[in-house]
Amino acid sequence: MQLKRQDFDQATLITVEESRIDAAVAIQFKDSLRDMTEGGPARVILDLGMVEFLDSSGLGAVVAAMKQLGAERKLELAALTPTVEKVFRLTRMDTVFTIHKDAGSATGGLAHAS
Amino acid sequence: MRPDGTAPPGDGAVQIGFAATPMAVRGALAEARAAWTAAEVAPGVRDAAELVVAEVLNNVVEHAQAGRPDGVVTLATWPAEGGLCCEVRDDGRPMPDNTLPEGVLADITGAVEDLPEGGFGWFMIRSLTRDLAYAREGTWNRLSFCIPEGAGET
Repeated sequence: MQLKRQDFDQATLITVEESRIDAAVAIQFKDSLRDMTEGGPARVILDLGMVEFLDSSGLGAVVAAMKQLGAERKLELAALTPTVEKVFRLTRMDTVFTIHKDAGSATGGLAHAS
Repeated sequence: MRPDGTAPPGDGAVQIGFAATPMAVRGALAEARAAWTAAEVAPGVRDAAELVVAEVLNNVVEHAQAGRPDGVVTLATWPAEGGLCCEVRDDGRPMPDNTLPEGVLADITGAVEDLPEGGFGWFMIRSLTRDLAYAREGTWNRLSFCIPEGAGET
């Protein structure tokens, strides 16, 4: 599971460098995300622009990732591809997450952390 | 060939057998997707079919075939009037009460800590298919369904 982290002043941007979040990698995805976001800023933005396929296991892992951040922090999503967007819309989870058009609009105005 | 020796009907049909593991499911989906593209199945139907078949196969691997490393799964698909029909067979445990889960979406209006992390699979299967049918035939499960054109469009 390839995840890339970029630190901004008030947000962590995690880019998923995989084309699929499915049953084969869902648990690994959740665990890696927890390790990479431990103790960071309140906003965590998940860039899903490279993800072409997400099934219910992947969706469950994204929800679990938001829950494990705790009440004081928030998971936001960016750059949903059409097939991934459809899964969020079908399950109405698009009403639960803040969804940005792309990573740039999600981090607009934030300085890179030094 | 399916377990009963018959072939799925028609041109552009797909017939794949594989082991009940998550990585084998990935391989089967890639193979099916390539065949659907070659058979000129509409892109929207392809996307919906990949999602539904993935959900069905994940359930087979996690429930029917759990702890059975020698389990066998077959996937057959064939283009049909206005969409794509699919049949999944496996030699694992039967559905509880020989009945398919209802697939009702859990309440997502509460606090983040109360959000469901599962239960989306059967909801999506039921949302995107028609003619969903399950039968226990001897030691095999058979699940069949069709993906209509426009599945999931709202």
